[in-house]
Amino acid sequence: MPEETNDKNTIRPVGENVIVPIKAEELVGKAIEMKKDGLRLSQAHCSWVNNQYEVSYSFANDETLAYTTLRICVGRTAELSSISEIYPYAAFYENEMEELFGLKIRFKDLDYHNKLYRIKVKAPFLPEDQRDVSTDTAQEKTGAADAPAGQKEDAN
Amino acid sequence: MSRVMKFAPVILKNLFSKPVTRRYPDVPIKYPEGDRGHVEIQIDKCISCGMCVRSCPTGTLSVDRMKGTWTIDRFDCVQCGYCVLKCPVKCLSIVPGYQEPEREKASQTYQKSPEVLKAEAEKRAKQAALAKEMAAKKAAALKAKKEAEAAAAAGKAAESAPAAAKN
Amino acid sequence: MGKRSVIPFGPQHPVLPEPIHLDLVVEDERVVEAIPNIGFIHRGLEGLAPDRDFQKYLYVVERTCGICSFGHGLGYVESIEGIMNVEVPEKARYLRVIWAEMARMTSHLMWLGFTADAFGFESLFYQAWRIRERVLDLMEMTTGGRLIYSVLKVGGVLRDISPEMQKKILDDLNEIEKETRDMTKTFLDDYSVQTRLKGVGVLTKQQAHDVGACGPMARASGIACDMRMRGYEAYADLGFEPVVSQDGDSYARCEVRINEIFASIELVRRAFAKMPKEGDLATAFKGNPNGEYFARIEQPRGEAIFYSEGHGKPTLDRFRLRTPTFANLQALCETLKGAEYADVPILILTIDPCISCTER
Repeated sequence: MPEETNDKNTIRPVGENVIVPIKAEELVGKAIEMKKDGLRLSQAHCSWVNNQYEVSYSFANDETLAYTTLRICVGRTAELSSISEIYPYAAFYENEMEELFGLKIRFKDLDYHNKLYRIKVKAPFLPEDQRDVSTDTAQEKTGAADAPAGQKEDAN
Repeated sequence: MSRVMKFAPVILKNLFSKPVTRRYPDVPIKYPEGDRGHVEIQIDKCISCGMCVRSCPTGTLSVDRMKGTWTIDRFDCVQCGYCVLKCPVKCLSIVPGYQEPEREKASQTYQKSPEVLKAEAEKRAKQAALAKEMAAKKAAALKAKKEAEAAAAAGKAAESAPAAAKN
Repeated sequence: MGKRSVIPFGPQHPVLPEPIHLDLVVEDERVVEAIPNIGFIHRGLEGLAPDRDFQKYLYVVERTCGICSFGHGLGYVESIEGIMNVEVPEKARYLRVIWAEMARMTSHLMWLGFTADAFGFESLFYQAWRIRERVLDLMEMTTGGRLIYSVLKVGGVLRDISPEMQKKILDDLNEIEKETRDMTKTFLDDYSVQTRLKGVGVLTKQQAHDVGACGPMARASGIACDMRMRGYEAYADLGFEPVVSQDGDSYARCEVRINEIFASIELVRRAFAKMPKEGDLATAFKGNPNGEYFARIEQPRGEAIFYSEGHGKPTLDRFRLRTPTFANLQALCETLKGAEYADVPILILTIDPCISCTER
């Protein structure tokens, strides 16, 4: 099976997109480089494949239409640093990652504390055996955290 | 001052012309050909393979092979047309005409006609009989083979050691 | 030093087409800050990807949103074709462009109606939607559906446009263009419209770049970025220039979208002229997707990104859809800073919000 996520050490092109694997500590440094080059943060997402998180931050160049993605593979209990001090609107994507997948990200400037989508189940996109409540941050602060109406259950 | 009330001519024209809308449901609606309204089935051609059930994104179809039925929940169907593409005998089609509003959700079941059911049951019985015959033939062949092997072994033993005869 | 108060806006509001909640920090009728709150229409559609066969999942992705439906289907199909290296036949590429541009026209005409309604110009709302009905009739004739087309498949398209339909479309487009030109000229020249829209919600080029705006929102501030310049599908053969304005206020955004309607009509005409008369509608392929791919297309609202990852099974492992309004929400919060309280509905509508895409 090609492209095993564990040992992707090479920069490789995917269509016109270039995926650059980096380590979790290098994320903030690389983000500053991207900002200096004038790239725009296009999207950020994570997925749970092969028993680890694959986090992708994609940057777009509006003049040359080039597309670069930084790929970080971390384990279940890892904690990433937010890049929202450099790109202020990255906080939205990071809140979504935290809520849907339980990936811990610290130092977000706009933190919704798992209330962005207000889903009943914690980390609904992870498989059932990985959803351990005790290792996730942002526990329900008080009992009144449940909204009275309109709480959406995951469509899974 | 000529920049204000620029829309007035259009409004006056609309005031004195016919309405664009149709007085539905008094005036019947004309759907274009090829419109995706609802799914129809020619039930007697259906072979109850279940391809449509597996292909439905909403899970609204179900078939029963023994009873010869095909059930669709009309209010869950999203008229995508994927079942029509996947049917191997092309008994499904998507035709114009939207689902009318009702008070309750209901599903619709299509039942194969008795002649077709009888023909299917006969075919099944014939196939079962054929399978049984083949199985019996196979068992008999296997038994004969075993006896032949035993006889060959006995013959060999008798050749090599005149004193030791099998059984 | 005025008194600050927090006013909740939405999720129910007469101008909003879809529910979104904003907490507006207001100081004496001026908005100081806006904090968005979404989650009213979250259905977790990305989580259905591991449960549905990848060809069946196309129908789920198409139904994420009613207006942007063709664009979502197109991006999904492109991402799967990218993974599996399926080459789409030429005729199918032209057909996809034609349907995509007509979907863009319906989306912009609908947006024009909403914006006019936001500051009370209801007559234009009905006029714009009346024109839109004619385009929807053309879509129903060719694809079978008014909003959700279900005419795509991995490797091509399912239906063809016959020469009679083609002639009818071109004739109708001439009339539609004439009516739209009259209507939008009236709209843009009107005194009250100009007073309401000029100078409101200015987003400079640097701000638009810093905040990550995309689509007509960025093009109205001078950033000439349009995903159609990448040349996906048949756009490379048709010759395309993005519509850009330099002013950056709400009036410029209206102008950009209105001019895009005319650009779309022109693209449809060119596509019909260049489309081959005979050709395959789809390429056959075998197997399951194994790999990953990012597809980027230009939706009516901006740049949409489709990411698919599969490992040889009939279902995808991960599907990610980043819609343009998710990126433009931050641009909205930036334009709201310093705006008058009465301009808030207009500013929300100039980003062309499609909240059901945002939350999937």
